[in-house]
Amino acid sequence: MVRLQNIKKYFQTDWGQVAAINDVSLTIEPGTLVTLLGPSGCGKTTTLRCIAGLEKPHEGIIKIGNETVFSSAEGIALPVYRRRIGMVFQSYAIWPHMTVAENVAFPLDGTGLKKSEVNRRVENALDLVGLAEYAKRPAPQLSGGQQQRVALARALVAEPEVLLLDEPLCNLDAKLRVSMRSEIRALQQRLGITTVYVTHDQQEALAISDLVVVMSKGRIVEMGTPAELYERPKARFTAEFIGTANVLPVEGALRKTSAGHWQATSPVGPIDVMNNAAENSSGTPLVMIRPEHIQVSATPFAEAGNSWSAKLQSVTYLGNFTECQLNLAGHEVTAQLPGIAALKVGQDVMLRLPPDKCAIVRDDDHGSAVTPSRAAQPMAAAV
Amino acid sequence: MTAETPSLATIPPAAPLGARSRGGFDFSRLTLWVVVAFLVYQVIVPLAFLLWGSLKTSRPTDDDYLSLSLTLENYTSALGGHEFWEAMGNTVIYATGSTVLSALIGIALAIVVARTDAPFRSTISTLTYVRIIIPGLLTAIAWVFLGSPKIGILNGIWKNLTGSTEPLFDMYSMGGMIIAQGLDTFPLVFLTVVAALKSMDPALEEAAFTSGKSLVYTFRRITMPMIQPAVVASCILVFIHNLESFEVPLVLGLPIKTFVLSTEIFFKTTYVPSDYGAAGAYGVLLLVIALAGVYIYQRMTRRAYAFVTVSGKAFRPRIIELGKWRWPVGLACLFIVFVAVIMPTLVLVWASFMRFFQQPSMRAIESMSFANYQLVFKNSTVISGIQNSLLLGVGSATFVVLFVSIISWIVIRTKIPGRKALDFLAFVPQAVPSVLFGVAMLWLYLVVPLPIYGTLWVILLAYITRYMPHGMRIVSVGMLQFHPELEEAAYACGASWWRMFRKVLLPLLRPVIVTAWIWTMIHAFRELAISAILSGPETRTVGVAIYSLWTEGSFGLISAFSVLIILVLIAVSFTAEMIGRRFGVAGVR
Repeated sequence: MVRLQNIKKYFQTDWGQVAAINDVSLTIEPGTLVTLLGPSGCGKTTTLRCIAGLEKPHEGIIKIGNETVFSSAEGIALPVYRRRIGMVFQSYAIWPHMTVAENVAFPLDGTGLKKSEVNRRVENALDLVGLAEYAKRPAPQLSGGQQQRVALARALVAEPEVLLLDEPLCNLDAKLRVSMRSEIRALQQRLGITTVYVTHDQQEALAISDLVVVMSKGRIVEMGTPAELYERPKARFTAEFIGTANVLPVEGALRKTSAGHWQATSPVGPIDVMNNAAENSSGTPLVMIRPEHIQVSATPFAEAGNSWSAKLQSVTYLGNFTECQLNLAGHEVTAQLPGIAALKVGQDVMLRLPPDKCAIVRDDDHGSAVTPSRAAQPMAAAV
Repeated sequence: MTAETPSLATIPPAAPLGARSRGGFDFSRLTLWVVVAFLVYQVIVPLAFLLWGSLKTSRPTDDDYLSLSLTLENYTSALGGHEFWEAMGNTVIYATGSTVLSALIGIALAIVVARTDAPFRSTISTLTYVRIIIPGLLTAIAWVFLGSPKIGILNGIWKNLTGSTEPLFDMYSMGGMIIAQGLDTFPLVFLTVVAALKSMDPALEEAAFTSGKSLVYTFRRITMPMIQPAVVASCILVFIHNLESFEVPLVLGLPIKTFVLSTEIFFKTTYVPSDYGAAGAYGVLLLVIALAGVYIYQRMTRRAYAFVTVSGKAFRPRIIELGKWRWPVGLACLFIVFVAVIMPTLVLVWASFMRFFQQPSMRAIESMSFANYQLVFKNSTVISGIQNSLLLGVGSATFVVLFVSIISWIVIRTKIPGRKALDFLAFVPQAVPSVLFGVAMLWLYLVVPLPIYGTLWVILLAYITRYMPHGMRIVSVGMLQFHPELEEAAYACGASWWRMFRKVLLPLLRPVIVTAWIWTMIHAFRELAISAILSGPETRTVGVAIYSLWTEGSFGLISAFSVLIILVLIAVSFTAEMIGRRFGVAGVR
């Protein structure tokens, strides 16, 4: 288990003090894989390095297992090498002057273990990552993916309390990234090791995590399981950072119409929304829907409600789906339709937002920090 | 020149030369052959003459010099004689000792400056840089003022303090020579190790910490092995440099008849009765050692590159907090650079105000005057020395940068067969001791019927070859930073090779070219070994002028001249550094 309490860390820059971590509290349950997700500069790597002890927070308490490794109040700051961690670095940090086996054996050097025991553990660790026959290779002769595995074996060989991974896959090519991430997840599950994983890749985060912690500007925006964050995000920032989101402004207050149903008054009319995870939080409410959940049809829908006429502005065939840009009463909406859509540009179509797929998200100042990374731009909302 | 003009050269990158010339004469191939021919002439021919001379007992001016009657007599008498082995022994002790001293100081200072929070770090760096600029001849002289048993100021203070009649130490000794040279060459090690420490990914050390290893353990097992190739490579370079070192053995070794190979060769060539054959044999044997060093150096640097990823990424190095050791460590390092840089400079300043050299005292302070500074500008040796050295400095620097820019381009950007050989050829002069190269040029132009013997031209040609390897290293490193597409874009816009070279490559390379120019200029300006052999009465350089004033015993005049030279050189190189920064590239020191 790893527990962070009110961690604060500042950096001195030319234009004053900047909070790299601004009051972050987080509990990572034993045996789970938690991802810190956010754009660059959001404080995720700094948080990880604070856990490792490579950075020193200015305030807060960090516990690894039952041990307090850092506490500003008590003046505790355990050095890195006394914390029971294993870490994989973005650059892998494989020592080029050693062989694969020497790299992996390094954490066990000088610990008083018998040589035969060291060899056994190194073999096990290399077996675990599928590099058993590379033991005698000089480390620089490995490919990126193999170095990645060596780094993983080295981080695991001393059986640490917690495994820390700092953007471990970002230097690999796309295909390898996908296969490595499932390997890492499988390994983590098999060993049941508590793991903190830093990434800026939202797909990676969704694919491997028990819990995703979304960070921005040194704060935790929200956390939840991958499905929660994708289907029912609380914050607009989360909705737009993870996947693509259409966002419609809400005029006036939300009205609870029946159990599990809210009515939001938007510029196109009232929208029936069935998800409101952030019911009690502050911030401007907005209606969010994913492009693949929007229904588009040349003829009116059978179901009543949440359906309007819109003008089709562009149709782009993208292989696994067709992307449509629609103008809905002056708001641009992106919809992704399965297969090849028999629609023409300029055509008037019907558009439906299924209530169970609509979610209320809240906008605070984090929203502005995001530049959507996908080609499809979210609806230009009146903000 | 416009794109329509018949192209002077159309060398497409990554294609055989001349493959695209549209009919007519292929100028690119001509440019290439001119460069190659000049390089061969400048490097191979003098060395061939050296080898030839070592196999002859007659003199270059004799009629049968070019006849094929060769003999190994020079070698057998050298290897069988006592003189050679004594010089050889001295050379090995001297070069090894001063290299070890350089390495110890250079590594220690580099670690403190690059990796700790000790105070005075930037002062130490700056003074180390100044140490590179101050000519070795001047420090050798300064060390006499400081550590001569009779007039040395440090010995004087020691005698006053202790009442002893014995000096504290005698710089006129092998130990003194080693100290003077070691303190002269440590910056080379320092700069290399600092660069290696800074270009090392801090994650490599952090990975050791997260593997449960302490700072000391990590330093021993990770950091030291990582920087080891760079350390060894720089030590070999310093060793080669010390092997050919001339100034210190001349000033400190000659009075006690301690010869190293470079001074032995110098005297066998220039003093009557001269023995050219023996000088040639000594030279070739010295060259063999130096070439072995260069070979090892090149292998080591290749390994160093395999280790240190040249990503150009600026890493924020991990700083070791020294705690209570902060001040002691900082002060100790400051003391070392004080001894190596400030003390020799101060003693020259002191002597420059004295009509006759004397120990510091109230009486001495009262007798201080600017008389020497006035005399400097009236001394004809000094004036002509400055004129000649300026001409040589500007001439060789300009030619070297132009020449190495073209060679670097050929080596880096083309796939011409033989470009590796070109690279090697341009590096060979690094291994040739200056004295030896001077001798080789002397013999060459005694035989070749070009009327340049005894003129500045012969010195200029020698300097060009001598300073080419370093210029080449600076410029090619700069060129490697630019993507070939920048050049290809120029061709795509219709530019010829020559137009691309002038309009794209040279402007891009301006910072490194400025650096290489200044470096060559400074070194050529203060050069002694080559000009000592090639100078005639009309072609004395600054180095030769200082040495002849030294043998005349004009201490005050030399000191005033030295202070002026040091000031000018520091001003020039710091201006160059600033220019380099303005162009966005820090100077390659």
